[in-house]
Amino acid sequence: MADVAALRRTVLEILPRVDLVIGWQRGPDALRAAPLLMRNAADVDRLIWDRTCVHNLATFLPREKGKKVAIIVKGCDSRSVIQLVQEGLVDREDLTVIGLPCDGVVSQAKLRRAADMDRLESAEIGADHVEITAAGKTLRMALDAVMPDKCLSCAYPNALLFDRFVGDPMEPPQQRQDPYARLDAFEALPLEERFDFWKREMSRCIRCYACRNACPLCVCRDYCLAESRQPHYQSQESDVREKWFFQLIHATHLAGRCTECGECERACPMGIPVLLFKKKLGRIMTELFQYEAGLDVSATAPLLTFQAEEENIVEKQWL
Amino acid sequence: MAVTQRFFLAHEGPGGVAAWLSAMAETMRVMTPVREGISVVFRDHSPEAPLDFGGLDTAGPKAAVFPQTEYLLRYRAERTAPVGGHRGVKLEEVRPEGDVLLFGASPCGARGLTLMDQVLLRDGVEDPCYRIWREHALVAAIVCQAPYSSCFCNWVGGAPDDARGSDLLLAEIEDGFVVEAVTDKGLAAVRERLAVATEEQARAAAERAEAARAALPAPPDLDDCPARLNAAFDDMDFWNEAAAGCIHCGACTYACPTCTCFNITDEASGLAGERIRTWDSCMFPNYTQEAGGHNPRPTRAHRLRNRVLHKFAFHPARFGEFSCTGCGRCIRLCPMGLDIRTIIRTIEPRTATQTTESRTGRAKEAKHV
Repeated sequence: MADVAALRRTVLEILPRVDLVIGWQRGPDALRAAPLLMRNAADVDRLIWDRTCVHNLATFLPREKGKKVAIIVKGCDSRSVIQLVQEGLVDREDLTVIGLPCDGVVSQAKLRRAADMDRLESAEIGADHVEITAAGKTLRMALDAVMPDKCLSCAYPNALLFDRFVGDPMEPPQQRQDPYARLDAFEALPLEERFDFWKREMSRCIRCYACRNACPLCVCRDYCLAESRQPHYQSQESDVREKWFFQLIHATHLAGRCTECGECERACPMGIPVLLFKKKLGRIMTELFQYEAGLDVSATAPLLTFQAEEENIVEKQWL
Repeated sequence: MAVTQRFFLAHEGPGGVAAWLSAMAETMRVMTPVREGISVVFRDHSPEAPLDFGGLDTAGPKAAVFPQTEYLLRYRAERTAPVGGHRGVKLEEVRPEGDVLLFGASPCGARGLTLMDQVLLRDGVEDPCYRIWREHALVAAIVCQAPYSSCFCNWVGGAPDDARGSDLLLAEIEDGFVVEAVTDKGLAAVRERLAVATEEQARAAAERAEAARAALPAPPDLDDCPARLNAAFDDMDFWNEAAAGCIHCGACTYACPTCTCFNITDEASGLAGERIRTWDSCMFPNYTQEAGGHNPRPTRAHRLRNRVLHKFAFHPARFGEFSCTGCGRCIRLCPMGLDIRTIIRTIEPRTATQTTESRTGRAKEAKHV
């Protein structure tokens, strides 16, 4: 990974030409980061770059539209930026992208399953391991064991779109997991079990919309159909039907746009695996249209266009 | 209500947790904390499901007495007679029913109920549904053994063994729980069913509680926090900075054991419908959106400012204590890693000139974000 000193130097160079630079700072504990919006040189001292920098900061770009913004991105994050530029949701001219090489971050969800993260005392992240002292116990874990699934199947370790690249580009790491491994395992279950699974998972949902607001491509936000009264699409009731309905709408609106960055699932305070919905649609999009979102600023997402005769959709088989 | 009797609830066997919960379940709904993935949630008690008392209940006990959806009334348009009648509206009032035991709440969550009471059970402005839920709920909290890094209950007048808001307060010792009957309602639930705790057991429980108190770092002095926050009201530079990483979701407010804001909606389907009350969050732009299009809290900074000031300035001014139990749920669950402690700890006294300059400098920038 690139060193933070070099990254800070690059940010200081760019800062005078932009309104703000978006990066990360240390969060509430040693393994949590928080977004950092840098406006002056003093802010840059707080900038960090390590495996705790999980947030996909592209989610702030549509919010800061109209300003000259520089953003720091990992490979996966850069795909969201590409998708936003492609759809005209941010102006490329207003944007300075600082790209980074990254071979993986750490997942709070996986760390929580392994260690008492609420009683974290200290943490050290090495080249291939994480050592955590929590509640008086020290635990050494392989880095792979605490990386998000997306890092284990990462194909794009380097930012794909950038104006400045800090550090040396990396070879794509060896794929340790199929990107759809979790979906395959889930789909292998009997229908009834899958239905019960989602009923239980969605019953925990508190309708806080962290999934929606963390999503870089869920750009309606304040005008979301989930809360709209006129037109009235969804009931405000907090039953499983409404919560699940919203997830399916969310996933459908992202079909062919979603880069499967996993921010929705990472953000969920109740630990609901909502990325599975997007994975399902993502795979369908790849199979039907051979299209992968967030790779090419000049492409058009398949559902934002049409062909008179789709190659893989047989709709006139009666002819 | 000055009851200080202590009882003993064993981990196993007769007089144990399972037996007592089964006895309670004969007359009321029993809800217990269950671990699901990385969350701990209250579910209807099932004797087979392993209980989880080690972790903080993720979203707090609030939903048991302040459900996310409260059905207030049902309505239906009906003809008064099949032939020749006229169409009228038939209203049916809906009110909560049934007793519930909430077993294994956290003391910070339970204390939140007393702060919600201040808002929802005021003389003259009483919430009838909440009143019923509160009267029908029996809250059994468990004293914390070791604080989380996000805990700060001792900053805001709480403690790991705070009994406020609980009917029963349980302190775990080697082979069970020492149960303190905090209210008469709590006493009635254990008096006939549990053995009185021995002095030795009571002492062991007191020692555990003392150790838990001692494990919390010393709190900062927050006496002038309301004054400093009020003085910073117009310092939008400060609030913009504080809210920079916020994505204005409702995780912090929905998990907060003291947040009481709600919305009311008529959910109609054809000629019938329901009037429901659902949780609302001051972090949502729609929360203050006015019908004419104006939004007095147009940015994340305005909304975060309101959340912090409500808890640490406005509520104390009216009710004499912070509307925060220091449970740290907002810190644990914030997807962006924001920490309210940073704001209340670092906010500095301001002079009039600073705030005026800031007001004129920043007012133009306010827009819908």
